[in-house]
Amino acid sequence: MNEPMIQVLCNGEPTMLPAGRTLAEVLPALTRACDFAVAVNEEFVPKSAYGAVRLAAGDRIELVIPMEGG
Amino acid sequence: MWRLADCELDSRLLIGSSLYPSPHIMQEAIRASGADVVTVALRRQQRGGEAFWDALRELGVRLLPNTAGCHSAREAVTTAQMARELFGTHWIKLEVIGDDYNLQPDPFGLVEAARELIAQGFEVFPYCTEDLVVCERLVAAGCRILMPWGAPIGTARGLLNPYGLRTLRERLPGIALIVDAGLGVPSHAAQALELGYDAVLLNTAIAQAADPVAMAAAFRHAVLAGRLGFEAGRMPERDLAQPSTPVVGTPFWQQT
Repeated sequence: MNEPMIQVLCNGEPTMLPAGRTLAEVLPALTRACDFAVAVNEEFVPKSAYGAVRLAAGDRIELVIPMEGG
Repeated sequence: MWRLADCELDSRLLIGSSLYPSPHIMQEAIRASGADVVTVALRRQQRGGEAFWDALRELGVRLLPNTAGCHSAREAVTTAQMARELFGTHWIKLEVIGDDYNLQPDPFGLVEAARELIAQGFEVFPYCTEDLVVCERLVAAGCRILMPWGAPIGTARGLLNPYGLRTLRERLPGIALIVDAGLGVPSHAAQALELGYDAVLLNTAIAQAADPVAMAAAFRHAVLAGRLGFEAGRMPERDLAQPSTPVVGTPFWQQT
């Protein structure tokens, strides 16, 4: 039986994820970076909360890494 | 040594990490600048950022993350929260852009975001204009550091409003003032320090010079010269010439 999927936006790109998963569970599929930070629906999610945030269809995930800046 | 927020620094030059020809040249330029503090940013992940991040970490400098590109207080606050976790620092260069044409700060969003971030324990370095009243509002919101622009970011025009910058220095004697943005040549940095500014922050003037490493060294010396000049106390300006050579005993002089 196929697992139900949801569509989210990850860094502005439509992305399909298994339904009912937490951020901690889906992050390995979204990034291979070691140093990153996350916001969901424009709210910062600290690392300690990754296991508590359950994603829903339409959620907007921002996944950012260190970059050059002035 | 001088004190910035809760930190003792050697250099009065803060430097950006962007727009260098390569991560290696960035590293060499930052070393040549003598800067202790380097600005960084957050961006959506893309390929190729790792070399930059590795090169920067090797330097062991203090990081000052920015909220570049944010157009509202809310975006800036969320970006600052992500930066605090990612870079492990409560310092944040707060940018809230109000106009995309000249990247002019939005003073209203800036004050709103500064108040919120200070309540959350951040040390806020607001990138602002030299408007005295806006700066006073930022101080009232809890900022103890202000970073007025010299000129719009990346324009290399120097201090467009020395009168306004001097007024800020006179009216806010207890606040750390850093000219951020718009500098083009070392003399611009020296001029800011001569006005009594605590430091300058720049990026493009070094990164986009023909020889960024040499330009970084030039700015290091300019900042030292400007600060020494300020501490030495300048002579007053005068309208009329006054001879520097003694007039008493001038040869061939005849009383008429």
